[in-house]
Amino acid sequence: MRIDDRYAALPSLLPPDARLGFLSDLPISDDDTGKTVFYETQYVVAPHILLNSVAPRFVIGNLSEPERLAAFCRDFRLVPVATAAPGLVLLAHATEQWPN
Amino acid sequence: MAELAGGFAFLAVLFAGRGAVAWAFDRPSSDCAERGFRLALAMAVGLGLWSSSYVLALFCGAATSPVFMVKDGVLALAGAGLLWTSHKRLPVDRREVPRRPLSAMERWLTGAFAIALVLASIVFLLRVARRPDGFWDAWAIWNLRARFFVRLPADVTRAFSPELGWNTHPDYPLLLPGITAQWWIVTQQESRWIPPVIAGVFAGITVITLAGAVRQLRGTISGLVAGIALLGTSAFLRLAVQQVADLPLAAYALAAVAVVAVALERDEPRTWRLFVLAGLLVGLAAWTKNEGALAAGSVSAALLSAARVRPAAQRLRHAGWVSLGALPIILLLAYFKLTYAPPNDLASKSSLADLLSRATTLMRYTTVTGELWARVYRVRDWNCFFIALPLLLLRFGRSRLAGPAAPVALATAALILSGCLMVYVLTPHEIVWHIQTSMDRVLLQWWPLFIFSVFVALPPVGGDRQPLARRDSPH
Repeated sequence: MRIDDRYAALPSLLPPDARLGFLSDLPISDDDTGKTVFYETQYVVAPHILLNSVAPRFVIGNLSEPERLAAFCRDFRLVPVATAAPGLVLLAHATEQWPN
Repeated sequence: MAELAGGFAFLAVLFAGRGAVAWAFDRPSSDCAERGFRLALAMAVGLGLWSSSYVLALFCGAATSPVFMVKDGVLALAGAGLLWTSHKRLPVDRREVPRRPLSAMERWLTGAFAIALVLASIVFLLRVARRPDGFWDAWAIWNLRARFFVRLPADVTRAFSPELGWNTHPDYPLLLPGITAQWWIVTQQESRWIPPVIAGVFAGITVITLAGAVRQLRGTISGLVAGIALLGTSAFLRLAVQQVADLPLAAYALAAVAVVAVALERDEPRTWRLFVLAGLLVGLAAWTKNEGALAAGSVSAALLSAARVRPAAQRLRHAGWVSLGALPIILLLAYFKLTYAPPNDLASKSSLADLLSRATTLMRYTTVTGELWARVYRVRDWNCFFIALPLLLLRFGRSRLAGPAAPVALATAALILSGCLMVYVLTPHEIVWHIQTSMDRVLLQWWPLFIFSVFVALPPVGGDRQPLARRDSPH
């Protein structure tokens, strides 16, 4: 498996912000898949800095189960801006204004 | 323009390395094998200087293509100048040195070495084709940093942001990111095939340096067996495929000690240049990973402590030359650490009281030595049996180590391993987790040097019993 294959469409969707948030249905801790997914995403979005938080203006949703996206968006008051691949979505806060 | 930049980059690596090595060795190569050994050293030096000069340009805020071409041009010209003056300085002996025919054992071992090299290359290529991105360290640390350099050269500080998390180790030295980023710039694409090619080059440098250095010091049979021992270590191949920085670090540590060994066994007036070259190599080891600083300190300490090898004043001079050679790279590293690098995770998570408590807990020592033994004993990874026989010969065959290089090489290997194991004793992380996620890589840093030390400690075997270093024509 090559890291960038799943993420190929993501870089062109990214806003110019230095910091991006991250949201996943996989927990980020040592020795689990969630940690690998987080740092793979960081590798792809460099030179943006990926934070394990939904506080930044834009958030990358990277879900192992794409059907859970709606629930995550509702819980964190996020809306999808663009989809790069199934389960890989650029999100923004519902109150945020973003360029079309 | 891209072709021109690529040409400059290639010439910079080739001539900077070859120039430095030609300057250090005060006699021409005596044969094809010695030329291979020096070429491997030259590649290691050339890549290291190319990386460090690039990062210096980044730190100076001069990360533009014209600047890179100028610095590559300067490196190439300086190297070519050193090469030219060395050729002028060295006497050209056109007389044919009569070649000794290879013995049956040497022919057999040459064939075995060639087969091992071909098989290892095939396995490397097949495994790399399956995972060209390498494993965790490759993409989460080294190639991630290279991406920051290439994609945002105007703001190099972001590549070292503590916000990236300690898992990406923003405090780690920059040899590999410096090489990878430059090839990406030169080829104008972030090809995933560049990092595995770099890993393959460093694996080749390590094998050739080991076999070439042992052959030069202890004869053809010892050199070939040492090379086969390394190629037969499956963990060496596995970790090369993973593209970890511990492999270049192993290459630099081995190369430094090999050059020191050649210098000690020659015992000639101008060997100070070899000690300076060894210093440059340990400096580049420190530029590769934090543990490289341990290798640098270990070489100097081993030189200073080898009481039976040389008088104290001479030992002090040798260590001084090594320090001088390492100085430019150490200064660059110190600037990086003081200006850009966030605190190291091991240092920042421990107070003095914590360290003392861990250092005085016996259980931590038994855990570390137990894990070490479990690994080294495992034939499918480290294959200690390849060198068990030479060790037994050393213990029961002869009571004295062969040549003045042996105590220094063995002491350096022992110091590096002890230092690395002590890090596990003092680690703030959960000790078993830390060992299980890193000990194989740490062993890789030390393994080629350990094989070298064992074979250099043995007397020459076979037809060319007299070390080649002393058979060269006098100048």
